[in-house]
Amino acid sequence: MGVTLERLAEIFVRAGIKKSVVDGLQADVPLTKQGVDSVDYPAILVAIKDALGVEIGDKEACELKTLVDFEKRLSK
Amino acid sequence: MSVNAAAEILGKNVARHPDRPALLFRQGARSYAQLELEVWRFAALLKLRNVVPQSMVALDLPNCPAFVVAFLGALLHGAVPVPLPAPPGKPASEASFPGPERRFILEDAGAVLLITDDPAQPCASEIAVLPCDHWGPLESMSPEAMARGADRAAFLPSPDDLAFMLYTSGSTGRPKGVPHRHADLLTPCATLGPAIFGERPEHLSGEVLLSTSSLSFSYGLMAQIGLGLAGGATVLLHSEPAAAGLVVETIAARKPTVLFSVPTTFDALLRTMDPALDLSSLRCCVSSGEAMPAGLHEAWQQRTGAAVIEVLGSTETFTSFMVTRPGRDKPGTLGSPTPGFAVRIVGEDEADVQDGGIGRLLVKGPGIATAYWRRPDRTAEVMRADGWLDTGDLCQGSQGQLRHMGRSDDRIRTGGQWVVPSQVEQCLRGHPSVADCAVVACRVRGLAYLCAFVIPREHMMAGTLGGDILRYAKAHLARHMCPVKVEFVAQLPRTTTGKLQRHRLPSLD
Repeated sequence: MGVTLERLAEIFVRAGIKKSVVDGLQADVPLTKQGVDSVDYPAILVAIKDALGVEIGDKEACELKTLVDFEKRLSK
Repeated sequence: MSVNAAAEILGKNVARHPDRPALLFRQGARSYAQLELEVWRFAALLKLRNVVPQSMVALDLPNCPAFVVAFLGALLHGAVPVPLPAPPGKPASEASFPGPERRFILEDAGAVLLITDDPAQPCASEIAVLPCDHWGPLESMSPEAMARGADRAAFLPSPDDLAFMLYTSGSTGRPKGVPHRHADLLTPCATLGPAIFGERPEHLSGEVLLSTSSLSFSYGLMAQIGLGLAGGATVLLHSEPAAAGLVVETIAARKPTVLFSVPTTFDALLRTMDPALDLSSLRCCVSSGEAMPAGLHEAWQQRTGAAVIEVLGSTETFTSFMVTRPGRDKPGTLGSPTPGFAVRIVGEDEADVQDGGIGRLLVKGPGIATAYWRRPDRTAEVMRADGWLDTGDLCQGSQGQLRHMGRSDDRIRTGGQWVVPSQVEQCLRGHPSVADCAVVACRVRGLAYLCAFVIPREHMMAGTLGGDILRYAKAHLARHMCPVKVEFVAQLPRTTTGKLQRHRLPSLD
């Protein structure tokens, strides 16, 4: 079953990212250019594992740069 | 023979290539000749300000030409620069955490002058201030005053005279001053430089060096002055916040050939870089702070084609004393001692452990601090009478390969910086929904971060509270001190006397 961008947004908020930042995210722009920094990324991966039971591998994680990337990966 | 490190570094470079760019900063540059002139002027300014040699002068400047000018100018004059740590890109007047720490450092060092680009900060009201912009002092001198002050006679240090002092966090949270001598600043070029860049008179001649670690930290100072300027490189100064996007823009625009950084930043750069970005200028990347996970190491090499070398050092050693060789050392291992250094792994009986055993890593070599500033207790524990320094790192040696196995104290190394868990815990207890907490290390994709175990106050919704606590931490702590995960528990492990036992909390790898 896929994950929606709305569900992803909820997960990002649980990962400690401000709701105002999450609400303003453009889906296909690198997250690091939209206020998501290098400490937010591991928090997001942890939150995804907690919420969806999905553990994203090391190499895969390097390729996940945008919301769309995350959506596609989690819809596999 | 007495050698002033600043005079040595500037003199040899001006003699060989006076017009080569020494510093690049935003749209400006300074050649080695220009830099030398500005450094001498700064030394003259200190003399006119009646700063006597061996006085401590605090440096509160970002990664910018003014820091280099002030640091080397102080050395020329014989004053002792003391860089103040601050979150990159954030003026001290806005910094959330370092206020009390900065005051402590100013008092502990006995600083007589604060050299700063932020004279509005609270600390500035309590000490003489020398305001600067990012290029140098704002105070101008008359030609007559400059002539009186600039007799171009560098301070000639005795073996015991201090050159500079860096502060490092202690296991109790109180920073410790680590004084270094002039010879210590020259050690990286003589030892680590040849190990990384090969044996040639100027290891970094023709190179453009970028460091994402600030000059106010030991690693950044070693990279940019101890190796970069001392080795004849052009140093590309990056003063903006170490946000990956801005670093990538700098790399794209300025084409550095050598990059010094830490694993979490290498990771962030990989996910920020456009796949089409040309990184062919990069020929060597140096990583420090923690072991680089094998996956990240491989991904970075594939993406850039540049060799990745890992080093290990500390504020006490200044020079990185372990260095890896690409193709020889496995990712995750520490490599070999830098030429001139020796290491041992000892057990609790102080004897060397057998192959495969885990023990404390000791190091001996040039340029290592011989005492903490006004801390004879810690000096006796760490800087041993037999000349070995106890790094506090736990290591395992097996078939010639050393691996890092953790710390012998509670400090956590994350994002290239030390974190004292109790400081984070104290902050989190300020959240209205946190009854108690404990902070430990966790690993995400092989990199070390912080995890907070929290006892919530009654009737709290754990579902949304975790995110709230993470946001609270971000608003109150430096970035590297922010947990990436919150686990809720009913109780925390404590001794019968109430001491928190962090090691009994589950490890989250």
